[in-house]
Amino acid sequence: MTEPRPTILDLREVTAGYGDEPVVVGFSHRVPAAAITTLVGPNGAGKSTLLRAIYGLVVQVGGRIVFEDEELGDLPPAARLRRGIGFVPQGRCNFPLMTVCENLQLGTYTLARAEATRAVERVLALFPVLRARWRVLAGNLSGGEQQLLEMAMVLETAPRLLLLDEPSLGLSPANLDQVFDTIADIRRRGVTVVMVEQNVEAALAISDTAVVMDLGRKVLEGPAHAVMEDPRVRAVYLGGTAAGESR
Amino acid sequence: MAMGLSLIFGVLEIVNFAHGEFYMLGAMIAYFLVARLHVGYWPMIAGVTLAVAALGVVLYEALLASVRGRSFERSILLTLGVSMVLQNGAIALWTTTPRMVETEYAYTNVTAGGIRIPLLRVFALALAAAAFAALFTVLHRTRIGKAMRGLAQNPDAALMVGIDPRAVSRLAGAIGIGLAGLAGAALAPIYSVHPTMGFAFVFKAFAVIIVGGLGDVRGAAIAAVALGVVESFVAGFFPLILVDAVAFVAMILFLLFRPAGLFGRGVRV
Ligand SMILES: Nc1ncnc2c1ncn2[C@@H]1O[C@H](COP(=O)(O)OP(=O)(O)OP(=O)(O)O)[C@@H](O)[C@H]1O
Ligand SMILES: [Mg+2]
Repeated sequence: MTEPRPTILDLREVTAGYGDEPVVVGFSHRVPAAAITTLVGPNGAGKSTLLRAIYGLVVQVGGRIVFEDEELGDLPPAARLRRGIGFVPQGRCNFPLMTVCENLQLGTYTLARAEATRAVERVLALFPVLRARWRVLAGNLSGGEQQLLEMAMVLETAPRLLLLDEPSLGLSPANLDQVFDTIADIRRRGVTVVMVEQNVEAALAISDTAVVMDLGRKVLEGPAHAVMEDPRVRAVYLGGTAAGESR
Repeated sequence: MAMGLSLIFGVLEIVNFAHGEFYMLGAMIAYFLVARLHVGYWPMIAGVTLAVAALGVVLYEALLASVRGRSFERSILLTLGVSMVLQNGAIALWTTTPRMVETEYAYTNVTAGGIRIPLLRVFALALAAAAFAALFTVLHRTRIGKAMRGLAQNPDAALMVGIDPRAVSRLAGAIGIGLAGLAGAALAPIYSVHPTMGFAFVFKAFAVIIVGGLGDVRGAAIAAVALGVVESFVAGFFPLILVDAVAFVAMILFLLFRPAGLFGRGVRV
């Protein structure tokens, strides 16, 4: 139970951002394989920026990102996806004027044609709700369905590491349970998940490891249940204080 | 022509003010191929389209790749600049004298229901229809075409599924500008060729933006398509002068009655 898991992603002193001032500063962390790691922290802490750096979407000015023992360097996002890293960004991120069918087809963009059909079938088995909405425009799906669609689009490529940025953002409580159940299910299938969540209690309930981030740095890490019990975390997230007022 | 403009607009989020100049270049290349090299009509059409599409790739790589979605204003200034350089370059090299492109079909007519129609006009219409059908098929049936539509709808989602925005934009630029070249090639044997023939297009691009609503990408794309449809309709029945008037009449009407554009969104630019 407590034997250490191998590291799938090794962040070494990662510094990244958009302009002159880096948003993520010297961030080091080892992500254990086949587990769920949840990243929490106040608004503007740099959580999204860190995920975007891992997927190659922001300028990484320092440090190294090592995935499965290979440094990613300045590989573009598409190449990272081919290597086995999937990223579902914060907020709605699909092709709203295309049907569920077409969205899932575009999800197989990096796959060989022969493999594409099988990939679609595979995710439909995981997300039966999408089959029922096959001809509906993605923009007309409910928020929860859209989130599932986006995860399905990325899972088609069978990533070994899945990065999820606030998957529960803006979802109704019922949708929220469905999304978290699905994430737990994905992990049971052996996919490593790193997610950012503001819904701390629900997210940590399905997580193995938690990392608390603030002002671009790591301030706390540990087993999810231990982090949830941490008085500082309780005060900020679970004691009714708004996250933004922590500093 | 408007098809190419709206494709570039949708995928690259750039209003290509130089579009008319590529139409002009297409017509110029058509003149050289026919008058100097004695190339036949169909090889000329193919040659011009490919040559202008290649110029589109050059334009994209040299200038536009860096502005994509970054700054609407910058893309306007940049493509306006390209437009002026091309136009004045053409005037310097070519003088403003209009020239005729005489292909083997120059004097051929077809008779339909008692009316004699120059064959070249029939070809031009057929080419426009074929180009539209081909573009539609590519955008809706092929993987790369769907990637173009996807990139236009949501660039972040395109990155999420592993689309290389640069490669797809480059292709969209080539196709969009290639279509302007095709229009130049098809119309050169019908009208005369001169360096300022693409000029009216700059105003048309303005008109499209105003009708669509300043800074409203979707509105402008719709306005561009609508303009293309209405123009080809008018061109079928009225003299060319009126075709050009359509865009400006629409622009003036919109400025008077719907200054915020088709969808009435706020002015942002
Ligand atoms: N595209 C951008 N260009 C410039 N600065 C940005 C950009 N995106 C985010 N930032 C800045 O980076 C900082 C961190 O943003 P980030 O989105 O990573 O935070 P976050 O922890 O994900 O916050 P949230 O909980 O609100 O999603 C913020 O100060 C923000 O203003
Ligand atoms: Mg965020």
